[in-house]
This record gives sequence, structure tokens and C-alpha cells, in this order.
Amino acid sequence: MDMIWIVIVLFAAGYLGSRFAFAKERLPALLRDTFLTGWEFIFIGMALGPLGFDLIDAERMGQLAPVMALGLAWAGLIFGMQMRLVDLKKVDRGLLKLTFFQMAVTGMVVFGIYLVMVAVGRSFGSSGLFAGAAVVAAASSISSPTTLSLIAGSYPRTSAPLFRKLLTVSTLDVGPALVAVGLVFCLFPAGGGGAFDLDRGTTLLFFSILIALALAGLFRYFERRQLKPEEELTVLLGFLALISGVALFLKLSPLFLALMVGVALANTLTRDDPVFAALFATEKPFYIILLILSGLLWAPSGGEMFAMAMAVMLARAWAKGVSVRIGADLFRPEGGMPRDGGLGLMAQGALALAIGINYVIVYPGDASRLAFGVIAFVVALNEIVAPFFIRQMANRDAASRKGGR
Amino acid sequence: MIGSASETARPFVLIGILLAVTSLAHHLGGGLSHEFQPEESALALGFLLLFAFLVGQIVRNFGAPMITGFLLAGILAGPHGLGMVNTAAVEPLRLVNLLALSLIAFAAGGAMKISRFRTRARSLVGMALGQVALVLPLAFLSFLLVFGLTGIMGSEPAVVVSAALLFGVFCVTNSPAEAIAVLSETRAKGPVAEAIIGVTVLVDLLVIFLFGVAGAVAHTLTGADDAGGSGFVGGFLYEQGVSFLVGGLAGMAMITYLSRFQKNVPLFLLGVAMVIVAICQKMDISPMMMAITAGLVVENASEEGERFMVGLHHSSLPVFVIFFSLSGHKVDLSVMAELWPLALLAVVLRVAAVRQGTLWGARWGGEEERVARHAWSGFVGQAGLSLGFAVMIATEFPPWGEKIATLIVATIVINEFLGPILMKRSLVAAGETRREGAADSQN
Amino acid sequence: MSDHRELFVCILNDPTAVEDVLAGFLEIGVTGSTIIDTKGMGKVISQDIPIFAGFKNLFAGARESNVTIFSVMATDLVDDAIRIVEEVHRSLEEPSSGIVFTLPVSRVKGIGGG
Repeated sequence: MDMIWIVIVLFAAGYLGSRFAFAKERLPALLRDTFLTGWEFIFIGMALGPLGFDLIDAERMGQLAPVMALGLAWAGLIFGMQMRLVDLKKVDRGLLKLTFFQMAVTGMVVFGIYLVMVAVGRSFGSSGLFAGAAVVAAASSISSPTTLSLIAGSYPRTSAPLFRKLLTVSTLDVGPALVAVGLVFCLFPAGGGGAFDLDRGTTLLFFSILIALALAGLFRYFERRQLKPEEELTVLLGFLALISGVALFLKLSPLFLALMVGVALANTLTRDDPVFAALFATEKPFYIILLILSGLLWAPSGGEMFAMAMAVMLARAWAKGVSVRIGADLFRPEGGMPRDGGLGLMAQGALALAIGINYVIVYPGDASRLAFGVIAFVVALNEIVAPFFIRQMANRDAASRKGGR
Repeated sequence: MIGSASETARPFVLIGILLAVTSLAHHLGGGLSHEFQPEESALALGFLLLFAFLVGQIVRNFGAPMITGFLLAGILAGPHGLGMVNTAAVEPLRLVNLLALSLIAFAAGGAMKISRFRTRARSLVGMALGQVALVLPLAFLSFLLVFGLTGIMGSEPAVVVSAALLFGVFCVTNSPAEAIAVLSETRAKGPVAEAIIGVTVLVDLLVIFLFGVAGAVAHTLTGADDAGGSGFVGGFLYEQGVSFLVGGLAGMAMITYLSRFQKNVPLFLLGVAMVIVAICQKMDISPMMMAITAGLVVENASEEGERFMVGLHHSSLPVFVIFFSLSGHKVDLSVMAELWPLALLAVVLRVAAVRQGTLWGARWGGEEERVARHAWSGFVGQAGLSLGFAVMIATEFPPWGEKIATLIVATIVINEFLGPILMKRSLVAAGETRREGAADSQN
Repeated sequence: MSDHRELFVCILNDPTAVEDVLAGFLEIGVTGSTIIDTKGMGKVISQDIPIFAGFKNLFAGARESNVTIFSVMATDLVDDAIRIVEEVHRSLEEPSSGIVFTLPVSRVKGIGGG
């Protein structure tokens, strides 16, 4: 398929899919919850790619890398632009500590499990081993607010505080994961074959921060003018393309670079709403495109990948449960957290896939393909089971509050 | 005063930051390669979009249209300027050219309300024929003399005549791209603006036909394959027929969407433009006529014309920025240095002939004097279509075709800069721009 | 200008357009208006599904989504005022662009003559 048809198909699918992916109210409950967050679009990607009709072959996928990087920069920017200090200060301290605690524990558990599995089963170099494990750990440590938000609407207002807390946790735990991914890309630079390199790593990290601040300053200085809507669109597109271009060129993480730019902008722009509104308006279509791209990139390498994915999934579920239980006792978030609150964090969502895609487009090779395959499989499985676990947890919480009256 | 000084300095400061960041990235990444690398293309796209936009802003502060800035930015960014963007990196971005041509053609078609043009048909046809009748013979004869005297095209008479003929046809071409871009930026409305669009499209249709005929003659004179001669005319008819048919269908599809849905109009139009480009690539035809037809159908067969044009306006700026900066990027300054005297001669002759031909044709057609005096400036600019001809000539008639193509490109470069500036001045003088006051008060 | 006055209420869904609307009002002789930040019904009851940007919704109280302009003006200025809103902003026939309505005013005190 020619490049232009690929772009047309992707964007048409993204636009159409975004209208239907979250509109499944009329389906029977079981079906609705199984496909709640639209993960079935991964299959469309698989059908288009080498696993299906091979309409988009490996060469074309390589040419899609800049488009994917643009999408990743967009995702990182939109996330970073939410991180205003003034808003973060409104979050209960106990909840904040719980968020990072559960994320760190889950990450470390998955890191260890994956590292051991790969060290035993494969013979990757240090990059494939440690960097791959770190990326899988980062993707596994995060949770997704999408499923929570879709389910929260079917619960009474008395459950709202619980869902609000879980939404906060599942939104904020992404930040450190993206930072971790960025650090991995610096310390295991793809340009140098992926081996650990502290010198180059610290140089890249320093200049990443410098470049991010310069880009934020560039956009900030732009934004003080009254731009016409089409001019604002041009500047935003150019800006996103520049972030993703710089990241791809230096083999850094577009997610990380864009995150830093977004955070700098969020805390310096006086009038960030129109920019945010423009980004937010394309959130759903981009999500669908991300799912399709994940399907395209997925290359299962036999039963070993499935076994690893199951192990990671179980380890993640256990770690989330245990860390939330311990964290709730340690940090005492305001209003408390149910002991099975970890069940509410089962969903992983789009940013986990974005982390995986980021890894695979910057680090070609078997290690990244394996890591991405594991991530994609785990995400899909978690998207299926998460609605059931969330409902279970919410029902128990509601029952315990009723019984407590 | 301090406020306005900082406003003037702002684009320069932003350019400084942009150059610093990009240079740093190049330095850290080991510099640019001379082969295609997707990551270099990604960086090139981001740099060009912002850099060209900023240069466009600077140029606008001096009263020139922004597209002049986009062109200049392309030259500055390229291998003959700062070297921030190399040729291999921009190759994938050429796709944007066809997209831009489609959007421009949409706008050209959408600006043609047949009921309004019907009353002015005689004057529009008059202006178009006036240009052709003056420019073609003048350019042909002048360059027949020049090529004959200088020996640039060799000594074979058939080649000299063919080269002069093709160059003469080229001189008739103008640029809907530049015209639409300037009209869009200045939000010009009125009889002069309408005349420019109408005549530009008419002349383009004539040129496609004339080029077909000239190509057939050149093939015959130079002894090339005879099938190439009839192939041109046959190919032209096939192309126009398919374009009208598919363009009409595309127009109907756009009407259906615009009348049913209110959201995402710019994105939808971009999508339709991409589909048109994809179809044209498959069938190996130009998207211009297809997109003009589609725009014409929307404007004349529905009530959605206004929304269509507003949606186009919102979606086209980023595409224009890339399109014109890539045009500038292609400019080979060493060629310009060699051929500028001939190119300048062509420009001067052409401007004089266009101006006079337009004036006579307008008066013959009973057009109002304001249009007769000002519309000519919209026909000076040359860009996309003309560049396409240069490529075709170079391909069809090697080796002398390449020399003609080079001269064509040199002429286009001068007209690319001159055309928009003259056009904007004329539109302002004719009182048809709406942007000057609004832009100033917003700054 | 007639003596009859109306309360002109305009809810604009694009807050950035308000300055141009007010500038247009000044040109037609409407010299006083009150502007308040407001939130539409859709914003309150809709389920914004967060995918990448969930955090902003949790503290959405800090962000308002539209602007309401109140202005007491002479009846014969109302048509011009509506025209200005549609020129600067966009047609009110388009969904989600905004709404304009007027109420008759029987008594007013505190605004200048005319």
C-alpha cells in the first residue's frame, strides 16, 4: 500500500473509531465490559500488518516512524501540560505518596521478573537485558484512568470519592514512568549500540533538558502573540514535529522530551487553554491510531512471549494489590483506600503502549520486539479483565459502606 | 515604541532559538547525512514549518505576503544557505506538494461562482486570450533570437525552434498557488480578486492544451517518436475527462458531509485532498483539475460554499508553509548565478506582455477599469504547475530539455518572489484587501 | 435611537472571541457590558473520558468553558449586536457555537444616556 493510502487509512480509522470505540452502551454487559476501551482496534492493526493481509509491510512501517514519533510527542506533551504545580499541590499528600509507592513497587517487581526470564531464556546484550526490562517495567507500573472513568458513571455518587482517588492515582503514576523511560534512552543510547554509557548518558540527559527548556521557551514566546487559529495550528504542528524530530534524530524518547516541554509550558503559560483544547480535541482519534499501530508492530515470537506476558501480568497484578494495601496503611490517604484498591488499577491503557512503541522505533532488534510484544499482550489482557476487577472492588466498597452505616 | 520594537524583534529571537536548538541537535546527533533517513525528515519538517512561518512573519512586517517569506526560508534553510535541511531529508515531504496543489485547486474551484462569472465571461475570456496572444508570440520570438544568437541550445534549428516554442508556452503559465495564497492571506474580496482566480484557471486550462500541442510539435520537429505527439493530445483529453468525472464525485461527497456534519471540516477537507492525491498518483494524472472541479461543484451545486472556503482557509496554512518552503529549498543558486540575465529578460518581457494583454482583453470584454488596471499582477507569479512543466520537458527532451528546464526554474524563482509582492500591492491599491487594518490592530 | 431597551444575553462558547465582540459593540454604540465566566450544561453532565489527559478533568473547577455577556441596550441595536457576534465568532446556527436571547427591560438605572 502506498504511503499516502496508509496515512489516509490510519487517520480515517482513527476518526471513525473514536466515534464508536466508547459508544457500546447497547451491547450486553459482558461484551461491553470486555471491549470497553476499544482495544479491539489492535486487531485491525494486526490485520493490516505482516500478521494479516500484509498491506503495510516492514519497509512502510519503518517509514511510518516519524509519524509514530509525532504521535508520541503529542501524547507526552498533552500529559506534561496537565502537570501544573498549583494543581498537583491540591492532591492529598498521602495519596500522592501512595501513587508513587505502588508505581515504584510494581515497576521493581516486574523489572526483576522480566530480567530473570530474559536472562535465562535469551542471550541479549546488556541493552536488551536491562533496557528492555526497564521499559517493560515502566509500562507495567502505570495504570489507566480510561476504564475507571467509563465504569464510574454506572455507580452512585457515594462511590465518587473512591473513583476520584483511583483516577488520581492512575493518572499521576504515568509521570515517573515516562521519566524512567527517558533516562533509559539516555543511559543506554541507541546510537551507541545500546550499551550502557554513563558519559554519553549524562551528556544526553543534560542536553535533553536544555533542549526541552529552549523549546518550551520558543513556544512560550510564540504564544504571547495573538495568533489566528490557522497560525496557531501551524505553530503547534511545527512544534510537535520539531520535538519528535529532535528526539528521533538523537534517538531519545519523544515521550520524555515532550513531557519535559509540556511540564515547562504548563507552569509558565498564562493562557494554555486553547493549546490544550486543540490537543485534547484529538485525544480519542490518536488513541485509536495508537492501538492500530500497536497491532501493526506486534510480532509474536512463539509461546515463549505468551508465557512471559502471563508472568508479567500476574506479577503486576500481585504487586499492584500488595503495594496499594501496604501504601494505604503507610501513607493514610485522606478518606482511606479499600484494601483491594489495587484491583482498581488493573487497566494499563494507551500510554503503556506508547512506551512500548517508543522503545521499538528507537531500538530496532529482537530485544525491543520481544519487549513490545510482551507489553502489548499484557495491555490487551488487562483491558479485558480490568472492568471486572474494578466492578468487584467498587461493589465490595459500596457494600462495606452500607454495612458500616 | 518599546512595545513595537519588541514585537519586531520577536520573530528574530524565535529564529535564533530555533537555529540554536536544531544546530545543537545536529551536533549531538553526528550531523546530517546525504542519504534518506526518516529521523532527518522528521527534524526537517519541524524545522521548516516553524522557520518558514517565522520568516513569513518578518516579511509580512515589511508589507510583503507571507509566501515570499516561505520561499526565502526554503532557500535559507537549504544547501545554498544555512544547510539546516538537506535534499535527501525533504524527499518524503514532496507528498505535501500534491496535497497543497489539491487544496489550492479546491480554493480556486470554490471561488468560482458560475452565476457571477457568467456575467463576466467575455471579459475573463478576453483577459485570458489577451495574455496568450501577447505573451506566447513575444516570448517565442524573443527567445528564438536569443537561443539562435547565443547558441545555448546548440545549433540545430529544429531544437532551437522547439526550445523557444516550449519556453514561450511556459511563459504563459501562471500560478493558482501563489494567487490563492495571497488572496487567502489578504482576505481579498472583489472583482479584481475574482478576475484573478477566473483568468488564472482559464489560462491554466489553455496552457495544458497548448503544452500538449507544443510538445507534439517539438516531438515532430526533433524527430522523436511520433506516438509521443498524438500521445500528448490523447493524454490530455483522457486526463481532463477522468478529472471532471472523479472531481464531480468528490464534490458531491463533500457536499454530503458538509450539509450533514458540522465538525472537523478542515480535517475532512484535508482527507479528501489526500484521497484525490492518492487517486491521481495511481492514475498518473495531475490533481489540479480534479480538485478544481470538486470545488466548483461544492460552490455551485450547494449552499455549503462559505463553510467549505472557511474550512479550507483553516487547513491550508501549514500545507502552504511546507509547499512554498520546499519550492525555495529546490532553488539552485549556482544555476541562478549563471542564468539570471536570461531569466530577467524573460521576466521583464513576460510582465510587460501580461500587463498589456490583460488590459486589452479586459477592455475588449467591457470589464471595469479597476480590474483592467490591477488584475494583471495576479498573473505574474509562477510556481507549482510551471515547475511540473520543467520536469516534463527535461524528461521528454533530453539533453536540451534539461537546459530549458533550468532556464524555466530560474525564471520561476524570480517570478515566485516578484509575483506575490506585485499582487498584494495591486490588491491594496484596488481597495480589495481586508487584512491590513485587522492585522495592524491585532499587532 | 428608541427609548425601549432590552437585556441582551449572549453565551459564547469561544471565550477568546469576547474582546472582538466587545470592540464591535463599542462601534455600534453599546458602551456597557458585563462579562462573566460560565460553564455549560454539557460540561457538567458529560462524561469526559480521559485517555492521556485525565488529571485536568479532576481539577476542572479551575477552567471555565464559556463566557456570558450581559448588556442593556436600545432595542434597535439588538440586530446589529447579533450581527457582530456572528461576524466575529461564527454563525449561531452552528451547533455548540453559543446562544443569544433578549429580555424586555421595563426600568433601568445607572447607564449613560442613549
